[in-house]
Amino acid sequence: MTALLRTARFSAALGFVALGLTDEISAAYLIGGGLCWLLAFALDRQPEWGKRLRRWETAAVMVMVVMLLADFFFWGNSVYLCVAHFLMLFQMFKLLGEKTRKDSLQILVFSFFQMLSACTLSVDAWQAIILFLLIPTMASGLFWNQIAREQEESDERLPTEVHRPYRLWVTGLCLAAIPINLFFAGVIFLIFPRLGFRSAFVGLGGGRSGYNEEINLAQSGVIGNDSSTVLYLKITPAADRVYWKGYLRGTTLDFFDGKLWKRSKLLMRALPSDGRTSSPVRRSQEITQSITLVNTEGSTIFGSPMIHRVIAPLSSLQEMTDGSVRWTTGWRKPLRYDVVSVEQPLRDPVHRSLPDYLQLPKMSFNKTQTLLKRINRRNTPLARAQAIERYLKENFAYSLDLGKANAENPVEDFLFVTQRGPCGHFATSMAVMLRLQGIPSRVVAGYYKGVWNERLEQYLILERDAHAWVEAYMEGTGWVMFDPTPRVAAVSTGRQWMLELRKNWEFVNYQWARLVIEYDLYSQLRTVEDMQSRTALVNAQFGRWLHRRHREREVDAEKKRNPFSTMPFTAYGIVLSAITVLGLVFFFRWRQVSPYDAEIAFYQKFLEQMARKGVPKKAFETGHEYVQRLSGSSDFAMAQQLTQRYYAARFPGAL
Amino acid sequence: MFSRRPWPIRFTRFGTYYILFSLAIGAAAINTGNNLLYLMLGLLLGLIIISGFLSDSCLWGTTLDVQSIGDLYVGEPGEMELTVSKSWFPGIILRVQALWSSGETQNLFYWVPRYNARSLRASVRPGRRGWFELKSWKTSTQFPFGLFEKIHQRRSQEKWLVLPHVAMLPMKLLQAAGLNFADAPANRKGLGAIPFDLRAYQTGDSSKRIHWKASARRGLWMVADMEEESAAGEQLNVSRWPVSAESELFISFLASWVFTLYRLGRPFSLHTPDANFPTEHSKAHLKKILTYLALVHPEQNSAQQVARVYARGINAEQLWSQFRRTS
Repeated sequence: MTALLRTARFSAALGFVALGLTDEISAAYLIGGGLCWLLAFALDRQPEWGKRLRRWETAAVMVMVVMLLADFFFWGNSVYLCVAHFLMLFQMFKLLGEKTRKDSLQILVFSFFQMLSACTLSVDAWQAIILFLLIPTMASGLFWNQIAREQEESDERLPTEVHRPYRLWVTGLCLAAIPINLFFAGVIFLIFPRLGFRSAFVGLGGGRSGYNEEINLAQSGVIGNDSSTVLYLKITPAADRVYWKGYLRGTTLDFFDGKLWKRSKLLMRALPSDGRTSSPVRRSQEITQSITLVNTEGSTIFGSPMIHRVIAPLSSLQEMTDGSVRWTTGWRKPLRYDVVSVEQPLRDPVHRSLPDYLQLPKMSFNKTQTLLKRINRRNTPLARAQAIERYLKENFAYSLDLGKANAENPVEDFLFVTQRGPCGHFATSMAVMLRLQGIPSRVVAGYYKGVWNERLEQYLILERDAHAWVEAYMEGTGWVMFDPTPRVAAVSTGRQWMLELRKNWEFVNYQWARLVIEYDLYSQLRTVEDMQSRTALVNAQFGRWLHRRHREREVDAEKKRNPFSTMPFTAYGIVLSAITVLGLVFFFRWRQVSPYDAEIAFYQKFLEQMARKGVPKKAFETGHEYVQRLSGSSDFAMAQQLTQRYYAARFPGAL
Repeated sequence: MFSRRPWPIRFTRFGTYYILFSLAIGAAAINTGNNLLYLMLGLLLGLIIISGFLSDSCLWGTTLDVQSIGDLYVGEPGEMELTVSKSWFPGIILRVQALWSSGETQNLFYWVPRYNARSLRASVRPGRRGWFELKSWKTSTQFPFGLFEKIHQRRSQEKWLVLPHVAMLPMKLLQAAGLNFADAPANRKGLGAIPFDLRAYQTGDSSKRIHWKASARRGLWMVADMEEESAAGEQLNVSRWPVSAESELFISFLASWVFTLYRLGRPFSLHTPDANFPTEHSKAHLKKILTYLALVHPEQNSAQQVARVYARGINAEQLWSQFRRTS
C-alpha cells in the first residue's frame, strides 16, 4: 500500500507538471496543487484529518461541478481547460484526504487525465517527456494496486518473503515497460489510420489564450512574457531574409468602442485552388516563407504583408476583404504552409465603404484634437500619418505596463497621463488620431520579428512577439502600414549556456512537432511508400546477390560435375528446415514440464483408450495388478510394455 | 461453475473500464487527428500486450500436486495439501481453484519461485463415502496489472478414499450387545495367571518360572508356561444389507462399531454377505474394514445375495435397531 501511495504521489506530481507546462493553467491552481502535494506528506501522520475531510467528499464534488460549469459558461474557458481545472481541484482534494487503495488508484487515473488534458492543450515536446515518465509510473502503480487488491480480497497479509522479489519485479516491469511500450506505441502511431473526422463539439477550443483578435485597453497590470512558441518561419532562399521587415500580419481590427478593438464582420471568398489572392500584383520583391504554425487556435494564416499566395493543406481557406487569410474548419495541430508575400500596399479586393474605417467611439477627444493641431500641419494624408507615427515613436515610451483599468478614456490617458504603454496603446492612439483627421485606418494584429535560431535556420516566433500596428488608407495607393511603437532592443538575459540550451530545446521541440505532431495521413502514406521503395531496393539487391551466387555455383558445377552444387536453394532449404525442426523440438521440449512427461502422458492416454474399450483401470488397482487382469487379452503385451515404461518414468530410482 | 469450458481470459471490472477508456482515446485520436492521443492510445494498448504476455507466462508450466493430510471421513473436515510448482517463469499472485466432488476450494499463492514449489492447505469436507475426486483444477492470475484474469484449466483423475463417518458408540449399547470386557483364557501361551504347559528348563528362562513341585517330582528343572488372557473378540454379523434409505447410516454405524472396539482395545471382526474379516485388533485391520465399508454398495449386494446365517456373534441389524431406538 505504501508503494502504491508513493507511485500515486509521483504520478500526481507528473500530472501537475504536465498541466503546468501548458501555460494555460493559472499560477493559483498550480501553487494550490503544489501545496496540497507537499501537505499530503504531513497529513500522512494525521489520518484523522483525512477521515474528516472524506466526510465532505460529496459536498466537495458538488462544489467542483458547479465551478466546472461556471468555468465553462461564465468564464468562457474551453472544455479542455475547464476539465483540466476540475481535475486539478479533485486531485488536490484526493491528495489531502484519507488514502485507501482506491484513492491512490484515483490519483493515478486523475494524473493520466491531466496528462491527456495537457496533451490536448499543448504540443510541446515536454509532453513527450512526461508521457515517457508516465509509462513506468503507470506500470508500477497498476502492479501495486493489483497486489493491494488481492490482499484486500483474500484478507491475507503479504508474506515477508515476497517483498524483495516483488520490488525486483516492479523494477523490471518499469524498465521493460518503457522499450516495449514505446515499440508498440510507435507501431500503432505509424500504422493507425489517420482519418481525422474532426467532428468538433460545441465550445471546444474557444477562449484559448495566445493569438487574440481583440485589443483591450481597459486592462491593468503588467503583461507577462509568454515564451510559448507560436510559429517557426523559414524564408527561402535564405538570401531573401534581408527583404523581410519582420512583420507577420494576422487580422485587422476596425471597430473601436473606446476601450476595445474588435473585428467587424468582413466579407470573405474562398481562395482558389492555386492559393492566389485577388489583390493585383505589381512588380515587386516576393518573399517566400515556409511557416510551421504551432498555435492554430486563431485560424489565421500569418505571413509577411501582403499575402499574395498561400499553399496549405486546407481546403477551406478564405480570403477576407482586409487581405487576411483564414480557414473555417477545425485544425488542432501544427499547420505547415507556404506563403508568398509582396511588399506593396493592399487594395481591398472588394471595397468596403471607407467611412466604416472612420468610426470613433462616442467620447470626447478634445485634447487629442488639440494635440493633432499642434503636431500636424501637413497637407497630404501620408505626410500627416507619418508625422503622427514619428511623434508617437519619439515622445512615448514602450512599456509592458497596461496602466489603469478604469480610465475613462484610455487613449487620452495614454497620450496625456501615462505616456507609456504596450504596442496596443500606440496603435490605438495612432488609429484614433488618423480617424479624427478623416484618414481611414485600422489596427493590425500580428507578430513582429522573433528570434533567429541557427540550428533550425528559422525564426522562432513566440507569444511575447505579438504586436499591433496600424494601416491607413491612402487614396490612390491603398492601405499603407505604420508602426508607431518605438523599437526596444531586446535585452539578452541569462547566461550563454542557457541560451544555447534554449536553442537546442527549440530544435527538439521543432523536430517533435515536425515528426510526431504533424504526422498525418499524407505522412503515413509517404512512410508506407518509403518503406515499400526501401523493401524493393533490399529485394532487388538480395535478388542480384542470389543471382550472382547461382551463377557462381553453376560455373562450379560444370567444373566439378556435381549435381548438388547446381541447386543453391537446396542448402538453404535444408538449413531452414533444420532450424524449423530444431525450433519445434525445442518448443515442445520447453513446453514439457519434465522429460518424463511424455511417458506418463502416453500411459494416461492408453488408460483412457482402455476405459473406452470397457476395461478401465480401477482406482484401487496398481499398474501391475491391472496388467495381470489384462493377461489373456490382445492388449496384454502393449499394457505390460507401457506400464514398465510408465513406472520407469514415474519412479526412476525404484528400478 | 465448470459446466462449460471457461474462456481463458476474463475482463476484470477495472480492465473493462480500461478497454472502454482506450477505445474512447482511440475514437478521439481518429476524430481529432491529435497525434499525442495516438501515442497515448499506443501506450495503453502496449500495456495490454505486456499484461497479456506476462500473465500467460505466469500460468505456463504450472503443475499441481495434491496430497491428503490424514484420512478423510464423511462429514468431517479434512485437509489437502496443494503444492504448486513452476518451471521457467515464477508464479505471481497465482490463484488455484480446485473443483472437488464435494465443492470448490480456492488458494492464493503470492509467490512461487521459478523451478521451485510452494504448498498451501485447502480444507475440504467430503459429503459421501467412496472416492473423493479432484475433477479439475484451474490456475488464474490477474498479474501484473489486474486488467484481465487469465485462466488455465486442467482435468484431473486424482482421487482419495473417504471413509464412512465414525463416532464412539455409547457404552450402554455395547453392554446391551453382551460385550464382556473381562479378559478370558485365550488357549495359547502368554503372560496370564493360569499355567498352560510344563516343559524342561532352557537357558534364558526366568528362575521365577521354575515349577518346583514338578521339578522335584521329575528330578529335572521344569518351567511352567502361562496361558494368555485376552479379549475374545467381538464378531459382528451382517446377514443382509438393508435396502432402505438408512443404509448409509447403517454403514456408518458398522464403521463406528469397529472404531469403538478398536479404541477400547478389543479385537473385532466383521462378517457381511460378501466379505469376512477375522478377529483382530490392529490399526491396519481397522483400516481394512473401513476401506471395505467405504467402497461397499449395499444396493447391488442386497439384490444379489440371500440372507446369511451365522453360528455365533452379534447380529448387526438387531444392534442397529436397538441403537436407533435408544439414540
